Formats: sequence, C-alpha cells, structure tokens
Amino acid sequence: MKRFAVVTFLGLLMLAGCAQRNVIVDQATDQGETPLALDYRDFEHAAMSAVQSMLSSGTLDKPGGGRYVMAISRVTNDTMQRIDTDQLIKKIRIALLQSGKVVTTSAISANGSTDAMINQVRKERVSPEFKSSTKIGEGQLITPDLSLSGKIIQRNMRENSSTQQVEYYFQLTLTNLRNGLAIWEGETPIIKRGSTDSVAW
Amino acid sequence: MAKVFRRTRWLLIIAAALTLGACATLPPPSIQLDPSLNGYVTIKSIHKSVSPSGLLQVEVTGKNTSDQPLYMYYQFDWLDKNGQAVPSLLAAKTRVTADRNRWFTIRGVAPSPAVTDFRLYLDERDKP
Repeated sequence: MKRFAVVTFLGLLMLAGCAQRNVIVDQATDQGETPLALDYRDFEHAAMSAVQSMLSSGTLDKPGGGRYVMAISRVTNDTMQRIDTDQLIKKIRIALLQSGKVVTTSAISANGSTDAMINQVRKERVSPEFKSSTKIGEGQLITPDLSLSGKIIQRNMRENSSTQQVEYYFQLTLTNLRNGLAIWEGETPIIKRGSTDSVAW
Repeated sequence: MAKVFRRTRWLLIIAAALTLGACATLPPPSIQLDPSLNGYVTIKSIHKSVSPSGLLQVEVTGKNTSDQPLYMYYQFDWLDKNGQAVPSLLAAKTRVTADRNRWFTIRGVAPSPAVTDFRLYLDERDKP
C-alpha cells in the first residue's frame, strides 16, 4: 500500500513537470515561431510601414502648420480569420497623433466606432441638472479633413502536398474629404509559407 | 647594434599594428552592429535631415561584404534633446535582407518633432 502511494506520488510529480508553463511574451525579444495566421507582429509591421510611409511622404504636412483632422472610414476584414481591424487602425491612430500632424475625430466614422458620449452630453443641454456655464454649445464639432479606409485581404494557395502559402495584403487609403482625392495609398504584403497541416483561419 | 635593431624592429611592428588598428572601419557610435555581423556588414553612409514639419528622417546605407545573403533585424531608438528614448511604434524591430555583396538601405522617420537624435541596432536573424 505504501509502495503504491509512493509510486502514485512520483507519477504525479512527473506529470506536473511535463506540463507546459504559461509565460508572458516579451515582444521586444520574442523568438516564437511565426504562425500562418496573422499575429501581433504582422499588425505591428503593417501599421509601422503605413505610418512611416505617410510621415515621410510629406502628405501630412499641413500648409501653414497645424494638424489635420482624420476620420476612420470602413476597414474591411476580407480574410478567413476573425479580426478586429482596430488591431491595425489603433496603432496607426496612436502613431499619427504622436507625430503631431494628425488628430482623429471620435465624432464621426463609417464603422460606428464613435464615442457615444459626444451625443449623450449634447442631449443634456436642456437638463437643469447640469451647470449652464459648463454645457457644450452648438457648432463645436470639427469636420474631418481626411478619411482613412482600407482592406485586409487573404489568399491561400497550395504549393505541393505538404506546403501551403498564405498571402496577406494590408491596403490603406487616405482620402482628402474636401475633394475626394486619395492623397496617400499604401500596401504591405505579408507572405507566409508552412505546412499544410497548419491552419490559417 | 644587433640588439638595438631587434628592439627597434619590435617597436616598428607594434607601431604598424596600432596604425592599422586605427584605420579599421568602425561603425559610427549611433549605429550598433551585433558582433555576429562584424566583418560582414560595413556602414557606408548616414544621412540625417529634418522635414519641413520638424520630423527627423534618417537613411543609413550599408553593404553586405560576404558571399551569403544576410537576414537581419534593425531597430531604431528615437531620442529627444535630453537623450531620453521616445517610445513609439516606429521603434519596433523590422526585418531587412541584404543580398550577397550588395548594398542595402535602412530608412527611418522619427515619431515626433521632439526627437533630435537616434540610435540604430542591427542584428542577425535566423534564415527563413
């Protein structure tokens, strides 16, 4: 009986030793394998390429100084994966705001990602509960100058019985809303190749 | 006389070695090459300019002097006037490949007008 208990205890210890440990990934030094699906490194790379291209192109240099006001238009996920396109757009918004050249409006967008409080606080104009001098008057919202739209495309192809290639294209367009002209366009392709056993959706 | 000549000869050899050592091409202090790239990568030029809206732009040209393609990462540190790093998406690691005996160019744009200087790290990565 005692021997059985010892063997069981040792067996449990061995099983515990084999269990995969959970770790927090250090993004600066991550040497993890690249999956065929999109991961954080792909979004970071696509966003960085877009921002670098926008800033170095000079199209965001407003004549006379100041900042452009940008609205977020539709960004379509045309991949086989469930992606929140904000993984891409939020990084771009942060970097453009940091550059001092662009500020993004939360008052209007094509994908519904506006701040609900903008309208909510205006509904309270007639409420006696709020101090009159702190109420927001009419005509304060700023019409955007630019619109950012885009699409993420995925294309799968089988190279042979054991290898498949997955191509992703991050396409973005910056449109001048005053005249409808696309003043900047960018495409970042990310091509991955791996086993047909890997799943890319 | 032979003793003096022998001593002078050693002095000349040491002096020549020191002179040659001083002539070896070292990357500028703003660029840090991983030791694994020593002897394979030479930095030829660094161009810095400031855009009309005040963003620092950097273009670094190097050469892969080896007979093999080099698969590398580069990463910028963007520094403000106090020498403090300005964290940004534009300081993320980025892949760059240099074909054998070919020039390669790395371009960077500062994330904010507060940036006045940079550091660039270049490191080897595993072949795909």
